[in-house]
Amino acid sequence: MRRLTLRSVAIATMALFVFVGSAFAGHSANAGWTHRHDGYPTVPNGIAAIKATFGEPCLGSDKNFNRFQWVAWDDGVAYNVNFHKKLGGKAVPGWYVGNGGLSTNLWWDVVGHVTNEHRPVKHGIWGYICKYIDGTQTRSTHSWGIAIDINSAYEHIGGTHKHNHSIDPRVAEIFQQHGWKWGITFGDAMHFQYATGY
Amino acid sequence: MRRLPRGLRLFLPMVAIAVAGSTTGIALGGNPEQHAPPIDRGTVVPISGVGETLVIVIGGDYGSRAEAEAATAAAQRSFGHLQGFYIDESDNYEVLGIYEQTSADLRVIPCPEWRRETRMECPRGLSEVKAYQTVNLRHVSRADIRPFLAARDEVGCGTPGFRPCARANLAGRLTPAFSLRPGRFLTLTAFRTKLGAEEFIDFARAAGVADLAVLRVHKLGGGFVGLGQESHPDGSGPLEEPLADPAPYQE
Repeated sequence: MRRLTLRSVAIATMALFVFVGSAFAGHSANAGWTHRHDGYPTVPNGIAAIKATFGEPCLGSDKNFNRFQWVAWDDGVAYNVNFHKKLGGKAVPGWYVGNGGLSTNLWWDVVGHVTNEHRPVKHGIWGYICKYIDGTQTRSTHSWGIAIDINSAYEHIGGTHKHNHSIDPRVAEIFQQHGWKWGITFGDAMHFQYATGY
Repeated sequence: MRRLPRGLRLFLPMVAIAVAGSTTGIALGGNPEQHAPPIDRGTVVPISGVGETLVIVIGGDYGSRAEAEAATAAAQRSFGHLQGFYIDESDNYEVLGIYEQTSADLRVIPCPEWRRETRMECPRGLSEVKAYQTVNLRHVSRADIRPFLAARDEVGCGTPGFRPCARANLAGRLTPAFSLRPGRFLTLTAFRTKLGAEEFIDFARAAGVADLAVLRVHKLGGGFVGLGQESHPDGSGPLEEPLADPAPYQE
């Protein structure tokens, strides 16, 4: 009986440590953060679905976009990241919400996960920019504010570079878990986009 | 003849069907990645902008097209899959004015202040962050270029909290008569609005491309230099046609 009691206490104590640890792990960087997964749009497939979901490209950065600044770990610079309102900025009580938004996808959930897990992003970071794909007159997904490049100073590009040089695998995993496609499949490891078939 | 067990009687035909199906699939379709339908991205027809008044952002000017191509290829590595600069001859542009950046590139923010402003923590080991500021350009008309270039950049220019040092860079690209140096090959990209140039500069500096010169010009000839990569002032989408009166969006 005594032995059983001691064992029970030990197990209960271990369980308590595990519970407390898991409750606070991931909240050490920004007290009070927890993911919300609120209002995510369906990930569009192809240009027609992208336009149906996010509208025309190059809508301008004031009315249709939100912005946050993402600090690179290696140079300490906070880079401007503009993104479509449907991908973030939805009001979260007591938190910076920028220009208002319709979901908590990028700004809140993705960035919150990365930050709270202390995962590094490195310099050369951008989001919305009205731009063609290199060497073409076709619009990049950046033109809709549905793409982000990170660690661009370290990542090679091109069809033969389907490998990752610097991006923390957990960062890539977090993006993908929130609906973002990783450009490594088409030789652009720095690139994440909230669309497929484009 | 001995009958096969019931489990095998069901299992073997399934294996045969699977093998036949996959073989047929490979024979008919081959590698699915090689035969995927082309992706429709709505390609845009390029417009050269000849005859228009434009805002151009110059990355460099070179004595030969080969040098310009090498410089463009080097810069393109910074821009990733996004289009950076184009190449055109300097003789295709009449200078109408220049632009100075009136905003600092970076502002130093101590981590406690950063936390108050953004509710985000600094990464571990940092006591401050250097935050990129919104790019603001001021137009300097041709009549005012001389006094502008004769003045000195402010003390501290080019460091966090101060605007970039601009005068030496601009003066180095112009003749004493304030034209572009003749016979040169420019690496540049063009816009119809000042806002388009400001957004490009924000992108370029994030990519590590610096020492840009911004001019207002009349395009006399030459080819496509990137028009169509900015938003229409009315917020309806990309600006793909000339504006009826571009001056308010450029000055």
